[in-house]
Amino acid sequence: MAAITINQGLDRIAINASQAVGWSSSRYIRTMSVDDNASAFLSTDTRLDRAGALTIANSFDAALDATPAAPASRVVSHTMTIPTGSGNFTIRRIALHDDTPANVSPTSTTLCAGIDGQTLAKTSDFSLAITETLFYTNTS
Amino acid sequence: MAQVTQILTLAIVPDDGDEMVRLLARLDAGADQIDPEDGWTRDDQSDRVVLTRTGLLQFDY
Repeated sequence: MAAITINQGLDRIAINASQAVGWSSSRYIRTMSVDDNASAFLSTDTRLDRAGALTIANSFDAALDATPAAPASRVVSHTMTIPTGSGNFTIRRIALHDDTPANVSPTSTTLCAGIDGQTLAKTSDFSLAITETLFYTNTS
Repeated sequence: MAQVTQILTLAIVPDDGDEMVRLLARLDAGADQIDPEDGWTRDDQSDRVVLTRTGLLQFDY
């Protein structure tokens, strides 16, 4: 499993933390997506389709189930539930986005972080709640 | 310098009791479902199975 925090996501974190240029009260991690592209994420990715370079046959996105709880020891968990009738394909990648579901698609420049290398055959027999947990750590 | 790392947790919730039994049977079958060598931890609950991973997932239900 490769877990990549996209540079754009790091920029978003910095912008929001400092309310710097580009700060917006509506742009924060609030949507999760899944798709069936087998390519690994790159830190330079800004869109799921890598500016048109990747073909994404199937994808699904939705708002997080709830606003994440306040960080505990610098850990924040983000959960999204895929209903039984949705996302029924082999999930290869899971990603977090900094906009509303209405503005998130394979071509939207909203990608903040992602986990690739999955082989998860979602079917209509079950719903799937996915939690992606982010650890913010100091490496200096 | 700040760093962000990520982990993944899946909660598989079958749509009824029969599906729950079927899911558990498939998970128990091992091999082509979830390879414990891949670092997944599994928590069977009354209406769902929760998986947390530190390795590769191979799951087909």
